[in-house]
Amino acid sequence: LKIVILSRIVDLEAELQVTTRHAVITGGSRGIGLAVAVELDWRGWGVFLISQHRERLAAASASMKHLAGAFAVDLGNGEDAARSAAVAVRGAVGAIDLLVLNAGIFVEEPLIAIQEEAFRRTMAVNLDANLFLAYCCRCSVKESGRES
Amino acid sequence: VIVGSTAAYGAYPPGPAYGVAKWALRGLAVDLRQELKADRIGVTFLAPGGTLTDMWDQDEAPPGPALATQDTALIVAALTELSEQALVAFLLDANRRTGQIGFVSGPGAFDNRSISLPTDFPSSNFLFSRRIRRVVLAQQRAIQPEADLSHTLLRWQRAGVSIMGIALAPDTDVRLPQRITVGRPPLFRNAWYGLMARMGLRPHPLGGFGGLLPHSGGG
Repeated sequence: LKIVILSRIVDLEAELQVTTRHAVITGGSRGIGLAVAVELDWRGWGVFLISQHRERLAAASASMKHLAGAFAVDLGNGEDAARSAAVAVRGAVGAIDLLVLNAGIFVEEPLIAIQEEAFRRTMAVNLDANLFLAYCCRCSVKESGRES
Repeated sequence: VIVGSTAAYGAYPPGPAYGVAKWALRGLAVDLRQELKADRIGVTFLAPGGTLTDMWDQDEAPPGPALATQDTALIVAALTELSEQALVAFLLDANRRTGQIGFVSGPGAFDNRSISLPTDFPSSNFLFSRRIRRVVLAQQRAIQPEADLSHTLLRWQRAGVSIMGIALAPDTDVRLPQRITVGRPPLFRNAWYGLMARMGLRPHPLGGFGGLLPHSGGG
């Protein structure tokens, strides 16, 4: 019975997946981002990984079956970094269906003792980069693709 | 999809600046959703609780029981399969459910759009205690509940919970949840089936039925 059901699911997938859907995942070389990439990859999505860690990005990319591309950039470097990533995405996959804004960093310092640099860095990566990447990728996102 | 954190809903002593950024990110998601609505681009803000990732040092662990990274990955994958009109708000919060972290005050206390349930089918008392007065049953096609669900739903209905139903399949007419009246479930096909069905509805000490949801399995 299990075999029958599985083959049915595969058939359904084949019917539904006429065209490959593409996802861009920031922080895609480890943690939640990598898990999302692995899951979508397993489901036949073309995945495009963005990470600031070159070696880990290479390792993560190598483990994907449907890699659409990978781009190493530190998204904490403002709009220019986001734009360079968006250009790489456009070159590799054209239109995308899903943008997973996952990259983030963590600092432990209490707010009243935090160094300006650490605070700005936290905001740059965890907040600013997501906005910049969202609007830099905006014209690449398919309508009624679910996400931004 | 914007991967936020439960740190976007309360104070976050382990990393206050991280928390500030996640609060702001939640605001960004809310406004972005409005702006992109016209373009039919959905924006979803996910708030996973503590997750076992490299972000935590080797000797440290996130406070409370931690989610696996795959939990959030599965939610993201599931989101991509939902219909366009599905409104999504997920909190994946293993910590909040068990009340092990000081800065949150129990399941569902601060966000009435989503809630962590302690059992598969909590009692109506539990629902009321979380100020849940209405339940929407989402099924593929039928609005009326399947027979095995109607036992629990009927109890809720008798206790005063309003039951609504919606069909998810794209070719059905029902686009909005409709009020439904749960009827008495049909008689069991035979005594053995009835016995097995009742055994499947094991009362739980917390109230309601079913087993405890696993800790690391997400909210």
